[in-house]
Amino acid sequence: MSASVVRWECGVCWHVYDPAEGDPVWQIAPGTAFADLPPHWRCPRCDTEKARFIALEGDSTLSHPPPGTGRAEGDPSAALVRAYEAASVSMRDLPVYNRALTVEAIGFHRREDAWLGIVVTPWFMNLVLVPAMARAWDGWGAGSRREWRFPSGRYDFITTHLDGLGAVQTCSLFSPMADFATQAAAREMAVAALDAFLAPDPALSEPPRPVDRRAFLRGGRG
Amino acid sequence: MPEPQETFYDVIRRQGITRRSFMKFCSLTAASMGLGPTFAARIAHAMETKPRIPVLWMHGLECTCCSESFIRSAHPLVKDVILSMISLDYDDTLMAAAGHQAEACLEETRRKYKGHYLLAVEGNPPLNEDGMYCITAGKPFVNTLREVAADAQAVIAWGTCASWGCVQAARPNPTQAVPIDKVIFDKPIVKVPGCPPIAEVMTAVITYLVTFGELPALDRQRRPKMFYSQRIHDKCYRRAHFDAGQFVESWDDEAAREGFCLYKMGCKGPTTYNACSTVRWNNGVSYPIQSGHPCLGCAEDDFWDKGSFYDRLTTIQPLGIEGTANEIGGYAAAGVGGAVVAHAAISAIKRARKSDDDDRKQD
Repeated sequence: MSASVVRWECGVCWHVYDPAEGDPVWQIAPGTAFADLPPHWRCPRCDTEKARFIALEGDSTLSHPPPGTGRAEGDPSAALVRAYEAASVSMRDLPVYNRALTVEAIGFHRREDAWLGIVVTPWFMNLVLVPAMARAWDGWGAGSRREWRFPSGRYDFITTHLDGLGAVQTCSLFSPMADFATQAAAREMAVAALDAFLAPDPALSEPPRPVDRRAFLRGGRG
Repeated sequence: MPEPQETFYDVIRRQGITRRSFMKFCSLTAASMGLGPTFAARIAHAMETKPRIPVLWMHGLECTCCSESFIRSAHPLVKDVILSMISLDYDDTLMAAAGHQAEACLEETRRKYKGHYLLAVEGNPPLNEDGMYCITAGKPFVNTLREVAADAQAVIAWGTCASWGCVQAARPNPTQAVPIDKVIFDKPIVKVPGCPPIAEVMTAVITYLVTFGELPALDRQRRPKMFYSQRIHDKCYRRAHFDAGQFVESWDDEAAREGFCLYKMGCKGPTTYNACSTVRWNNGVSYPIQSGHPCLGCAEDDFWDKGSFYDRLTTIQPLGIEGTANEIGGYAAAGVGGAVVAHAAISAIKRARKSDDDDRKQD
């Protein structure tokens, strides 16, 4: 892969230029490397000049496997549990840690190019997406947001980098977990939440009514 | 019979704003409230046909940070439009008139638009010594507030002062400052807490009230659901570090430079309902956590009395705002009732979902 995968961050406002997304403000097509941006290009958010941008660390081309070499991963449940169990060491003495609960990955199944399921830990319950191609999302910065469309609506997921898994995406459902007295209760909630998440929302399956220009100009409510 | 009032559209056309800009404002406003494109047309229609609703803006014990935030609404057009859209008939901080002239405006609007004006309250009334700790126009503020509220259509409580009491109501509260819902009982009140509230939130709330002539959907604490249904923690960009147990342990350590979670430094994000982590501040540039400081929880009740801003949060209210009486016991045992769990699961999914039109409408 070329240098086009490297993302650059504004030194003033931390806006990130992602070549994969391009820049709608300056009408830069997706796939344009930072180096190929026109010289008059400035930060779309704060108008800082191009020279003030910094290449994001850990974003080097080396961390990206060439397309096609990522092998299709099996169920990521075990790796997720391992990663969060490692984190639980530093969480254990905090008041947000619910000692009745343990780390558990629930309901992971393949949906197109990602695995979807719920991770329950003593300090959170999140929807988690893991790329089916190993480390396919590693170029996404930690904390960056992506919108996903599911039958029940649109959701923002936040990128997080986990040991042994690389970048995965999470969406918070509960945190802290003080409401759950037992692991069984948390598990029951996780299963119910996954069901609700995947159930189609009738309000969304109906396409929005387009604005009728004629009716609108006549003073109707469109 | 009151004389015919100008519509918002008449006013902005008179000021030389083009129809194109007007339509752009309508779609921006719809977007800021998370409403779909069909709502832009509804907003445009309402602004073209409905007379401007007079707004009286009163100041009690406060620091004017709400006004400061409001007049800095990021988009210049939005600011101009908002200030001309609401017929701001009285605001003792912003109006040109002063003294008896200003108070005459207040009287006149009250008389002329009885029952048809909005009352926006910034700050709160002190009750001690019969309200002597806050005197406006020679009268205790609490008396004026009660009188003006009596003829209002609805009341907006700007900021944490009017909503919860804020610093002047913190212990020991020598002036007995109280939130406005302790003195106004018979009017619909919308609370827009925050110290100050986010400018975009303020403009969106007032636009909603003025254009639709009805209250937006409110939660149990009377806050607009469209902005106060998620905790800072739920949508924080540093959330991944919390999940992974990566915390800032002291100011300026390596973890702070890495942008790890600020929970151990006293961040109140896990208990604070506000839109900071999604709407952000200063035209979406940043918010406290993004600039490296823990959330103070300024949009929450009693945030001054909950210990130091830098004390680690130890008591965590288990209940989300969507919680119902059934959920108060927690999800204690598996099988307490499938319906309770299913309902809570659906609420959680709805909270996580990006809002669509159906969530915005009044329930």
